[in-house]
This record gives sequence, C-alpha cells and structure tokens, in this order.
Amino acid sequence: MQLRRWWILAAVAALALLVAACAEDDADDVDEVDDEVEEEVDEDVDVDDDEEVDEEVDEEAVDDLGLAEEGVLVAGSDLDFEPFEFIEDGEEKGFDVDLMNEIGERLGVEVEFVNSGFDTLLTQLDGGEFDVVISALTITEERAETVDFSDPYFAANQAMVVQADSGITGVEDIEGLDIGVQAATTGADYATENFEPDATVVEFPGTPEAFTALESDQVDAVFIDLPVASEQAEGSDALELVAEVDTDEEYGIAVQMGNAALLDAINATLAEIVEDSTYETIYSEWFEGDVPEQFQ
Amino acid sequence: MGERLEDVRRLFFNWEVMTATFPELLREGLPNTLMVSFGAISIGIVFGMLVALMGISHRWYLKVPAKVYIDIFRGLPAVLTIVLVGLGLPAAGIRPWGREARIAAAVALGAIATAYIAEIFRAGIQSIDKGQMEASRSVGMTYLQAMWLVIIPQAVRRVFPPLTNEAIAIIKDSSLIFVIGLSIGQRDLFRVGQNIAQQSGNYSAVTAAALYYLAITIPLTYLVNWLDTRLREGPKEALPADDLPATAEPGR
Repeated sequence: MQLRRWWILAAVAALALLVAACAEDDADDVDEVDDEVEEEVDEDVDVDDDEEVDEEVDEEAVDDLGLAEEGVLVAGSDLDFEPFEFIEDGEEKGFDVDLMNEIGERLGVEVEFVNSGFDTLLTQLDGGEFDVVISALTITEERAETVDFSDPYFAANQAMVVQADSGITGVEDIEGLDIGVQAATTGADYATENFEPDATVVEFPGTPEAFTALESDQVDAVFIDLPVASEQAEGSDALELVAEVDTDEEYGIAVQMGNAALLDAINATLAEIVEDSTYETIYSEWFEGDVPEQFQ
Repeated sequence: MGERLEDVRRLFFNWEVMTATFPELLREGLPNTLMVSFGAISIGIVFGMLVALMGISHRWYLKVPAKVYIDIFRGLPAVLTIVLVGLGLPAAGIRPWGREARIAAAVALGAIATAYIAEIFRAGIQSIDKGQMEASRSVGMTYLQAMWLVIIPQAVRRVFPPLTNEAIAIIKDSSLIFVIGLSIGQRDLFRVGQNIAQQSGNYSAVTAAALYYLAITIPLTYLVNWLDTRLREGPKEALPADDLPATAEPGR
C-alpha cells in the first residue's frame, strides 16, 4: 500500500514538472500571437475612441497612460493612516485620497483604491496589481530602485508619541524603552538606525496595532510620521506627542518602473493642482496651519 | 502568458534573493517559529486533555465550561485571538509574561490548540469501547485510574493523525504573530521573510520562508505516520516470522 502511494506521488510530481516545462515553452509562442491580436484590437478601439475622447479630454488620450484597465486608475494604499488615508463609513477618505481623486479627475480616469498592507504595497505595484501607490510614501533612494516616484507632494517629519503620564519628555529619554514603529516605514528605519541599541524597536504591521500596544503599555513610545502622530495624540487623552524629529521627508506617488507616460501625466497634473491653489484647498481640509512654501 | 510567468519567476522565485535569505531565516526565523509553535502545541496537548475530560464528564459544572471554551476558541479567527491575548490582556492589566511577544503568541496559539485538541481527544476517548471502562472498574480501578491507565493510552494512539493536522495548523498560524509587534530577534519565519522582501522589493524572500515551513511540516507528517504505524504494530523485527500477516509489505 505504502509503496503504491509513493509511486502515484512520484508520477504526479513528474507529470506536473512536464506540464510546467511544456507550458513555459508554449507560452512564449502563444504570447507573440496574443500580442499581435491585442495590438490589432487596440488599433481598432483607438479609431473609435479617438473621435469621442478627443472632444472631451484635450490631447491626452486616456489609454496612453499605461493603465492595466483602460479608464481606471488602481491606487494601492494602506488605508489605516489617518489623516492621509483611512476608511470611514465605508468610504476612503484623507489627504492622499482627495489628492489622488483630483489627479484622476483631471486625467479623465476613475480612481479605484485597493487597501493593502504598507509593507507589501511596492511589491504589489511591481507585480502589476496597482497602477500607482499613494500611501504617505516617503521618497527614498532605496525605494526608487524598484519603483519610479512622482515629484514630492507633501513634506513630513517624524514624531514620538508616549503615554501622557509616562514622564518621557523627548528622544533623549529613550534609553531602555520599547519603541513601536510601523514596519517598512521610514520612521522604522530612522528608529532602528538612531535608537538601537539603546532602545528596542518593536515593529507592528499597522498604526492601529502600534497605538493599541502603546495604550496597553506593551511599548513605551510610538515613532511615526508627524501628521499621524498628532492625529492620534489629539484623539486620545492618554497619549501625548513629546518630540518632533526633523527628517526632511517628502512623500511621492509611486508608479511602476519605466511607466513614463503615467509619471509625466501625474507630475504635470500635480503642478497644475499646486498652481491653481486646489492643493491649498485640499491641504486645509486635513491639516492646520499654512501650506508649506514649496506647495504654494 | 510567457511574460506573466517570467514576472512570477522574478518576483517569487528569484533564487539569488532566496539563497541570500536562507541564513537569516535559519538563524532567527526558524528558532522563533519552532519555539512559538511547539510551545503552543505543548499547551494545547496538556490543556486539551483536561478540557476533553471535562467535556465528557456528566457533571454540568465541568461539562459546560469545557463546551463554552471550545465553542469560543474554535470559532475565533486565530489573528483575533492573538491580538486579544497579546494586546488585550495587557490592557486589562494581565501581563504575566511582561512584554515578551513570543510567549503571548504561544499562549494565544496554545489557547486555540487547546480547543481543537480537546475535541480530538474527546473523539479518541469516546471511540474506545465502553466495555473497557466497565471491565477496568469491575477489577477495582477508580474512574480516573481506568481513564489514565486503560482508556487514554489507547485513545491517544488512535488520534495521532488528527493531532498531527492540528500541530501543522498551529505551525502555519504562527505566521500571524506579527500583529502584536515583534522586535529584531523575536521575528518568526514569515516576518523575517517579509522584512527582507520589503527591503529588496522582491517577494522571493517570503517564498524562501515558505520552503522552511514545508521543511518543518512535511517531515513532521511522515515522522508521525511512521510513529503511528509503529505504535500500532510494534517493532517489526520483534515479530516472529509466522505471525506476519500474509499481505505484509514494506512499511505496512
């Protein structure tokens, strides 16, 4: 009995390998044919589209943006980062959401948000699941190796939040503390570089977990982007924002590497939005104080 | 299609990224995953037996709590149980393990394992013929003696396969413990893989972690199967030749 089972297992494995090998060979051939067919279809559609679209949207042909699905811009985001992106009453809300919707409207496409974990957003973008990632994403050289970034659209620093009665007054008190961060964020990188080994950096998948851990005393502080830190500190009497750290970070919208058409369109639209003061309108809806000079 | 396959290969099966990930997975991820999982399974076996015995009791004050416990912990998603134990209990001031996330995780997964294993043991115990208990009692054993010396040893042997299933489920669920926060040194296989994936922008590091899970779970399955067979039949060489069943083949 046992022997026979092994045989079946081996046979199935061999078969699977064979199929995989064949599929790979065939796939290339089929692909070429497919591409040809697709091109033909595209051309056909273009002829129809151009006549209609040209009248509505100026020169920008919608299907030139390199979107996976025509007319729909799929934006990946970790919708747990108030006030930048969050879900309230079943709707996506926040600064990033409003900005992206404005960009989409001006490009003549519908923006569809897909909620995902922050630490996998860029991999998913690379894998073609989204057209863009807008998620309070700081532009870094490291990230720019796998994706292309738009021009900056927000300037942010990092901040530290502690329990109001903790007696911790700033980053000079971190010795021996457990500091919660959100995984894969620039705040996490900064904390690991500057606070370890004096303090222990504890990574969480999202901001809700990090702040819950802080309130239930599992960590002593949370180190995260300033706007989110102030939002959380204002929302709870038990929490207090005690330190701001100047990290000169700028957020950008990420697109797949080499998608120049979409990147150019986004950059041009961003400039427009800043220029005609729509940026200011959106900014003042979510943040207090003046719009930073570079976005006026 | 060919391009798609190439994408999958590049993103998930990049051998360079995978081999670069193996050492860190082995050093940090594997010990932590094993520690949390086997901690949880141990908790599950001890308390699972207790809850099973309570569950088959005729006394309501033993039976009802056991049923309620099983219903709750079998019905909750693992990730919620982990959050409730890892973040909720400390919020309520209950923190016997301080801030050690791995112990909290083992306790949470152990609580889940207890519920499932209790049901497995109950089924095993109830599958043993009633006559055995009656016979044991009639030679003067107490209920607990009969249970412990006669019924349970047979029951445990019968439920080896479902117990292995549960152990494998727990090993896999241990990949969820990241929700309660892990510092460097505490990270499990999945988390180490994810960290590297996010640094390299390539998911192959997680695939590498997947191979480690298989390297634990597959041998475990076959080890238990072997043990199961051996417990049923005893060591082969001990059997005199003419006692071998006519259909005997290697391995069975």
